Amino acid sequence: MKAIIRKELADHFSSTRFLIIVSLIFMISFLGAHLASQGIREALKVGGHEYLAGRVFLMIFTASGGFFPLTVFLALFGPLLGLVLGFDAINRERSQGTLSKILSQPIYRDEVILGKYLAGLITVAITLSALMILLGALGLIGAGVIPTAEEGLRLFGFWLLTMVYIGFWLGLAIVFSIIFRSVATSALASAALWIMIAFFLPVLGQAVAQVVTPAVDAQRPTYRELADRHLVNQLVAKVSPTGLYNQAAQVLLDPTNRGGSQAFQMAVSSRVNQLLLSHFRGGLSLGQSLALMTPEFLILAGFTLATFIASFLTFVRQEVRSI
Amino acid sequence: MSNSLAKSSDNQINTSPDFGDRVVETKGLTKKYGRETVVDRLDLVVRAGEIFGFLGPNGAGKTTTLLMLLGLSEPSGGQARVLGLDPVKSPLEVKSQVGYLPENMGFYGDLTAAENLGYVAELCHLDNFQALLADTLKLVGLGEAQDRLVSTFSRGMRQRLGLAEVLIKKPKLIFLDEPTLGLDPDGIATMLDLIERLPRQLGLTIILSSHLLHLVARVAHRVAILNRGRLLAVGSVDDLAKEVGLEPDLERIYRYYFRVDNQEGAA
Repeated sequence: MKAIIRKELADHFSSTRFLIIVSLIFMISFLGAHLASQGIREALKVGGHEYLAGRVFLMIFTASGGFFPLTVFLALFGPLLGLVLGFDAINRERSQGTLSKILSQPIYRDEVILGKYLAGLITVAITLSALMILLGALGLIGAGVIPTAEEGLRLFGFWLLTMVYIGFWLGLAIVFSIIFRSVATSALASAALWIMIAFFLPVLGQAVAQVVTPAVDAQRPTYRELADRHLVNQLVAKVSPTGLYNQAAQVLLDPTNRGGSQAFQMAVSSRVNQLLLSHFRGGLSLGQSLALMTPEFLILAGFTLATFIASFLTFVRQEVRSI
Repeated sequence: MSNSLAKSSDNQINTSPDFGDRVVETKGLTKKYGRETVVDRLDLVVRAGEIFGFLGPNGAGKTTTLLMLLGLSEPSGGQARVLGLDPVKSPLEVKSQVGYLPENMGFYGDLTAAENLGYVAELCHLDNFQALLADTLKLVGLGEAQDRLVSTFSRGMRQRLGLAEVLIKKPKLIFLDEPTLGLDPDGIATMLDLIERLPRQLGLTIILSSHLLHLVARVAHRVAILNRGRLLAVGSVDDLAKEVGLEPDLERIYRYYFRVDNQEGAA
């Protein structure tokens, strides 16, 4: 299996499409982090040290700074990394006639699929680590803040969460590369599912929420109606890996977040949140945040495991004649 | 069925570690895809050092049989032994001693010949790759091309590189599936010369699957003729000619068996 992992890693890191996607992710992330760190520096100048204590460094990853926060950006565009690494994993070998050659060597068939999946994950791990280290360095220079140990642990948790999230898309893309003989078809299918899950499902969630919990006065919904709508929205988000990732990432990287979406917190905000913050000025501890995000993390990990098992079983059970 | 070699002396396949000179032995080997029988109760023996021609039209079951012998496809019935091993129970042991050149062998065009071979060597866990590399490429006449990208290779060179990938793991038995497909006359001649030399030079046994009869007739010691998954005949061209009372011309013998089989099928 080591041979397959080595070959795949060499292929990934020299592939043009991978380099394009990674360059794009790095550039946009840098821009976002730069704007965020400028905003943080301004905020620190005018005070707020006490309120921001223990999460200033994390804000490099969560503050929008008038642009995408990194968490949202990775939730929407991180999947592209997994998809690019996996959509042609098997059908490319099949179409160029190298799959039967590999399988006729003294290796088990599951080593091929496992090798390809692990190589994809290693590639994602290296890319994500590099991105977070560079963004951290940019934050140190730009915002002039040093991360606390807890912030470091939260960032490691975020790294792990993102790995699981992108691992889901990688597994899904590999399933498509086994099912579809044509590389173009598996690329299209992967992209279509990505667009549906990342962009349409949240809209669908809002639509479902509005139907299930209609407001008496649509212009001025009550707090209760907003809370009900938010609950329905979150339930719909739990069938979406992107929704799960978003919820878990926000809780993990923002100690003041208690599981609600930013939009909800803003909507219900002012008084309620200020009241809460006055009670929990320091925000949640790491343990509390972890406990709060565990359900989302476990469901997401379940999705990821399911795609990997699907790719494994589909490939291992496929007749070699059709390979 | 014509020749005694197509049948074993008893009803049981030889399962002892000492397989004698019976490099390949099958008994009632069957493969079904759904309700379609692709290989139908195949009884076959291939002896050490032979070049064994596997003949039949497209869809006769040649490739499926090779895949079963290699442990890549599970038989629906019957038994097979390859070098004394059961390919279903010991696929890795079989694949480490058997080389397979598929019909459309593919390569990584962005890698050199040496890198392509290196990848196969790594998959086979070969330690002394550098020593084997030079010898194997020289054997197939690609000694000068080891650092060239495979994307620049001609079809004939690619086929010879495919053969090198098969030979690098020092197999005892090799399966060649349509090795001359798409080659020009020079390429065919080079490939056939190589195939003819290998048993003598390396002590290999070769199963050569093809539907190009005149090419097989040139190199094969014995042939098996398959149609619709069934074995129609097996033996040397001379033996088969005697049996059906024809001249030792493989093309005529082949047509004779097909005519009889089709008449039986129609009846």
